[in-house]
Amino acid sequence: MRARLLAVLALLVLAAGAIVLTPRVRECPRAAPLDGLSTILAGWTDADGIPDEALPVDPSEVAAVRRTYRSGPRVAWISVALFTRQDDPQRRASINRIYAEQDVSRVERATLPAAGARPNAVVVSRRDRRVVVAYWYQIGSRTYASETRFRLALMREILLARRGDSLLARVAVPVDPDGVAASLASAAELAAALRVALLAGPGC
Amino acid sequence: MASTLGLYVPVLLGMAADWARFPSQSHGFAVPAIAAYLIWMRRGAIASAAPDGSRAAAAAGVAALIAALGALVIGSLTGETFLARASLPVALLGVALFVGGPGVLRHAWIGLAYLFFMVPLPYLTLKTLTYQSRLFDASATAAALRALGVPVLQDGVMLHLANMTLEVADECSSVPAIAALIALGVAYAQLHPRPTWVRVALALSAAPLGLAANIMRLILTSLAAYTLGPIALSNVIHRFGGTTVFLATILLLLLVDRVLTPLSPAPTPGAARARG
Repeated sequence: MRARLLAVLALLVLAAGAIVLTPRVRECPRAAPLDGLSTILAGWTDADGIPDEALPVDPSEVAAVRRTYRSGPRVAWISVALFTRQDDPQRRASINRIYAEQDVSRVERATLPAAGARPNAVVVSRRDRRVVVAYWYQIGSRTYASETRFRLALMREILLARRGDSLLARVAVPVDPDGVAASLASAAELAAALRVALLAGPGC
Repeated sequence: MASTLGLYVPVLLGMAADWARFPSQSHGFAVPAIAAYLIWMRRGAIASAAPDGSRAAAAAGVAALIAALGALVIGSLTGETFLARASLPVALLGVALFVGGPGVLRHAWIGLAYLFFMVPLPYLTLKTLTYQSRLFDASATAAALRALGVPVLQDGVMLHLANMTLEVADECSSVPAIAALIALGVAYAQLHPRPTWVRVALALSAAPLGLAANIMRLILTSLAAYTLGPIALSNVIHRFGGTTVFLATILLLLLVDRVLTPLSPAPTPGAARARG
């Protein structure tokens, strides 16, 4: 009995030591991955600023690029936000701020008409307007659509590399009279160009 | 046990902060007290259980403890609070098996395992379930209103009545309270000696009864809003929705108990002692 109690104590001390003595995570230089994001993406050109109600600001983001892109009559909004030191849960992107949630009557999962890596896509119905929102996460040179896979990858990154940085990229396209399919196609086109631009960026 | 709890002080403080912050998790404050009571009820049996020196039991106990402490370390370093929090009951079960043996665990496990109910569910899972529940609740409420002759147009989680629009909001869903309802069912089932099948039935019925009670509350609120207007939304049943559902669930559990208990033969005094 006494030997077993001592064994339990030893295991507890080992666990406490592992928690206390592990070095803290390193922080990505602010805004480094967002530097130089092109103002022209696959024929879409930008104008600064987007309405908050289209893509809400997350108070945990340490840097962000938020732009309106236009291509002929089509309009789209993008937001790319950097989150650092996410071993602290308070510094993570909130899933409540991916899209505006107030007065939303319906959120429907959608699939973007794109080959290869597909981001998450939802059609958000809010009062008499609808918006397609596509979003994904990026850690280093890898992108993740699944929240679960992203969290697992972030855990691995924090544990093994002691880094806790990621980007949350979002593209919002208002649903036009041509229907959801046209808006999904626009979102897919801009999301693919944005993904390539972010992967080619300087990273952390 | 005390040393294990000492290591978990930061985890427990974080959980207590969440219990205080989110009303749907406030049952967390009651869970440790109920767990302690469940163990206290069995203190005689636990004290008289002879320590078992078998190597197999010790190996299983230490394996559970190492797995739990591994989860605590990973959860603490990565900020995955659910992992760190859920490891506490596993660690205590491991210590009970490793130090006390299967005899102690046989009587103490229900109290230690009950601590799982104090751990808030991962928010990612909760959010998805809550939205689906809101849609289901809105559909069920709209169907009931139509059956009662009330004109209503459902648009997702919105219910458009002739005089106003109601939203089945996150707070209107009973999913966030589901852990509390299951904890309530398990605790209620353990209060008196009962056949195992009645205990299981009572524990499993708490969540669906809570969901049904919540839909009834939504139907009553919608009917009141249709009849009286916006003033209906400031009534007691709507403003204290969680409490209303909790009380209704207790009443429904009592009803289920009254129906099920007579169906099983009364336990013999010896059997009652063995269980209690």
